[in-house]
Amino acid sequence: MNHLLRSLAPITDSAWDLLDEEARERLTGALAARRLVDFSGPHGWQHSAVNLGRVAGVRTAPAKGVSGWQRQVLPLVELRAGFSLAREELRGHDRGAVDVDLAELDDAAQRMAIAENVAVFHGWASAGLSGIAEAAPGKPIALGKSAEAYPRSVAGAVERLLRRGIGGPYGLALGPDEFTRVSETAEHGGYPLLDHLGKILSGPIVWAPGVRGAVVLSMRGGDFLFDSGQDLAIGYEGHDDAVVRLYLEQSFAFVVATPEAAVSLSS
Amino acid sequence: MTAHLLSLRAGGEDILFEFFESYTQFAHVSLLLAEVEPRIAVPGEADGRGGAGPDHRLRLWVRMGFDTYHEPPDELPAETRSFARMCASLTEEAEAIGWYEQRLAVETDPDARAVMRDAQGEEFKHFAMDLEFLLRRTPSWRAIAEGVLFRSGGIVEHGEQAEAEALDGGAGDESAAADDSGSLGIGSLIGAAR
Repeated sequence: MNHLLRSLAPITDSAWDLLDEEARERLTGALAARRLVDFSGPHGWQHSAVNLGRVAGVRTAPAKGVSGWQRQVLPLVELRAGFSLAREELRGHDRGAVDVDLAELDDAAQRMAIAENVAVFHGWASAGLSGIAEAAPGKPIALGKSAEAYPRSVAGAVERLLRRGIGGPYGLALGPDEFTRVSETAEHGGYPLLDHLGKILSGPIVWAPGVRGAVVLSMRGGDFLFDSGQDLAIGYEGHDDAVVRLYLEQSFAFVVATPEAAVSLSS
Repeated sequence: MTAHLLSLRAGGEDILFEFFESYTQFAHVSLLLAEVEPRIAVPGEADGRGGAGPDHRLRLWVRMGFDTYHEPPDELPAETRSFARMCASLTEEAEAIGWYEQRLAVETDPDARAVMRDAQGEEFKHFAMDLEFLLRRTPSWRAIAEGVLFRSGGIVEHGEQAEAEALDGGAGDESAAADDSGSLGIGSLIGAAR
């Protein structure tokens, strides 16, 4: 048994499979950052920091004639989203019910995905994480209110990256509203806007709940690193006669190695 | 030297074999095959033209241990051909490691032993690189390897457990590699379907 304490939960193997599969399904669609940035790990629950390769001076030394430097690291953050499930629902699954109410799990998965997306694209200052959009140099390019103007804005972002010498392919993370506009829009002649943008980018267009506006970034590799300790997992908190209290949890850090490899687009 | 393509038959299957580059190699292999399989038919001898020269295409009946491709290469996708080449490379590195181990066991000259030890170290590196390439391309293989490699305790027990978790646990596909952390196995989603 590890720190998730899953074996202590009053949940059958079959119900655990159901919960894991439901969480996996809900998370996979919404975890936008993992579709666009480098992923390292998972390195395990005991992995606590990312090596930054830098040092800071230490003002005093333990003896005369020596000097010291302290290694700089980026600590991982733990992110947790709790939820409860009715034990009667889980018992229903064990009897063969196919309409088990997992709404709280779905909601926790959505919260977790949004939190990860926000941390990666907009940062998490109090946890020491810098986001891609905030780190990107230069003034954000305006997307405009109409999706028909998006190709010009996205092409402008790609051109800006090319001028900086940042190679492709390029990916596009779109906030939910922007993604809906793109999906619903066909250009003159009926050509889907989504396909047009794909040709400009030569990379994926990703629905990114939690993202404000949009971000164009290079996917050549080495520019943005998501460092995973414990990858997303369901753990056990406690239970009573009526409910089981569980949580979704992960530990991670995010490093922007090349801020100029991204361009922010404002809505 | 002229390259020769030999068509060999192993267990009823036709397999195209690598070429031999010299008479010496060719004669040596022919003798070896004749010892292994007395039914070997050498057309040059059978039809009275005398000997098997470099221009003869031979059909031999032998058993082969390994070849890069088991299926017609032109029917295989490029990534499968790369995978097969790396499997062949992995095998060759393991063979070389074994050969150096045997040579080191009998060699007494310290300078020669130092050279062999150094050379064997190169093969260790090559083997590890080949293996890492293959594991990156095969998540279920990687999941099992992670359950077995660099762990103390019973190798067989670890293997059985890792296999059960990685395959029987439904985590044999690319998106859901199992591990003993309780993780959902999501990892990177680059290239994943929405």
